[in-house]
Amino acid sequence: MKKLLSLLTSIRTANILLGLFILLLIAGAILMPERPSFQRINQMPLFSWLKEAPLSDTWWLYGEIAVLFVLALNTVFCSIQSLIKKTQGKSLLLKISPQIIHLGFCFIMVAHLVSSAYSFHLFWVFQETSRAKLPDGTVLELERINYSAERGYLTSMQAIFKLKGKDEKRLTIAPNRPALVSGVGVYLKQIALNPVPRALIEISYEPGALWALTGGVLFCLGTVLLIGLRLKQSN
Amino acid sequence: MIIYAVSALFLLTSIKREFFFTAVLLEGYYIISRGLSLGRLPLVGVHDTIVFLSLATALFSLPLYLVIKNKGLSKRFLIITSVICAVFSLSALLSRPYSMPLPPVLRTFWFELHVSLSFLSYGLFGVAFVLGVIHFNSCEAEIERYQYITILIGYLLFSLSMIFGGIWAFYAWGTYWLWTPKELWTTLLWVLYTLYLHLRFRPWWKGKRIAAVGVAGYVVVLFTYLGVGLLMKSSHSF
Repeated sequence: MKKLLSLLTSIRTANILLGLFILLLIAGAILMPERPSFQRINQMPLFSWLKEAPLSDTWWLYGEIAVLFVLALNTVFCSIQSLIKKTQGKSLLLKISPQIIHLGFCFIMVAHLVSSAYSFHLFWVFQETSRAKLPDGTVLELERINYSAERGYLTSMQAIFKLKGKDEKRLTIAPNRPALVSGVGVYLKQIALNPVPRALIEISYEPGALWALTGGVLFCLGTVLLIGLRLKQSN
Repeated sequence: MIIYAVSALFLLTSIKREFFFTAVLLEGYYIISRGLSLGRLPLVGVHDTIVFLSLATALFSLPLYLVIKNKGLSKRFLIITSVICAVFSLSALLSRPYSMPLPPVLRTFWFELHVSLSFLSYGLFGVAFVLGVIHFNSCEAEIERYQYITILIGYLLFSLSMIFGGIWAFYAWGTYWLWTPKELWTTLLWVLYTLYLHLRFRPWWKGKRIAAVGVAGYVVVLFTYLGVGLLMKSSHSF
């Protein structure tokens, strides 16, 4: 037990795990463009994709998940140890800033875990007046597609929907301007004008997004604090 | 473009620091005038991004040039930085600038923040690379310390760029993370610098060894930027 604890609180363990993580990522980065199974990886939750893809393509991802699990444990144990350890002459901020970074990292891990299990992405092609039902029963009906072009290049596009649920309303979506309907995001991905105007719509649910954002903010806040203190220290 | 070619020549002949400063001014003028004519940040395509990278590297090297106490080392630092910036500038001359209207998905400040912070961090990693190379020859602890601070600030900007990229991806594609080779290489780069920051706590890694990790990081930066962008298909392809 004592040996396991010293292993989990060791920075050497963290370094070995980070090294392993890098090696597995290199393997994944080489495999990814080569294997056709990766073409579907962004269309479903990671854990569902892992079930259907061959092990020869996914082994490195299983490795990454295992390494990240131990690394997250190592991060938590190291942070706790660092917080309870008495350090003389070290300011409180200098002591907690790396732990804020670690907390941010853990939030990002939770985000990926939640998204890998529960996210979903649906792709629909709409023509004007065609309809589709969202998971909660709300009906989306495409009313109109607007676009503008400059020198033959598409510069803006938008899709206007009628939303038929408890009450009826209009919904306008465009690239970078999605709409949130009953907890799911409605995204305009692409439009085509010939032979008839059509819009490729994505319905997306990303439960890890808020965790990832919180983690990112904490991570950067901790890093800013650490840099400020280190610069002050060297002055 | 002529102004830009002149700045590249100045960089190539930066044995005197005045040449370097002139090159930086000309390069800055080129980027600003190009941005004004396009009405947006010129950060799309190989030409614009490589010019921005060259300028970022040169600009970040200036404060370090001034703070390095050993005059011989600071001169050597400026010469190596000039060579790197000149190589970037000359490569930029080989590619055509992208002056077409932007596709709708790129018309957002999240994209501009994501790309500009990425290249600012690449510039800092470039400066850290030069400091690492100088440390190999000189073994000056001061230089290694500057490499650490440079990488730490670069790491912050790189992390911010990844967060803004995630926010942009969420608005544009409905997810903060996409599985593409570029994302994998970017994560690899981020983990490599995370490893650098953690290895520094181990006494065995102090000195030349840790400087070598900082140098290796820049090789991955260049591959992530150019290699993956040009060779592999992803949302970041040129």
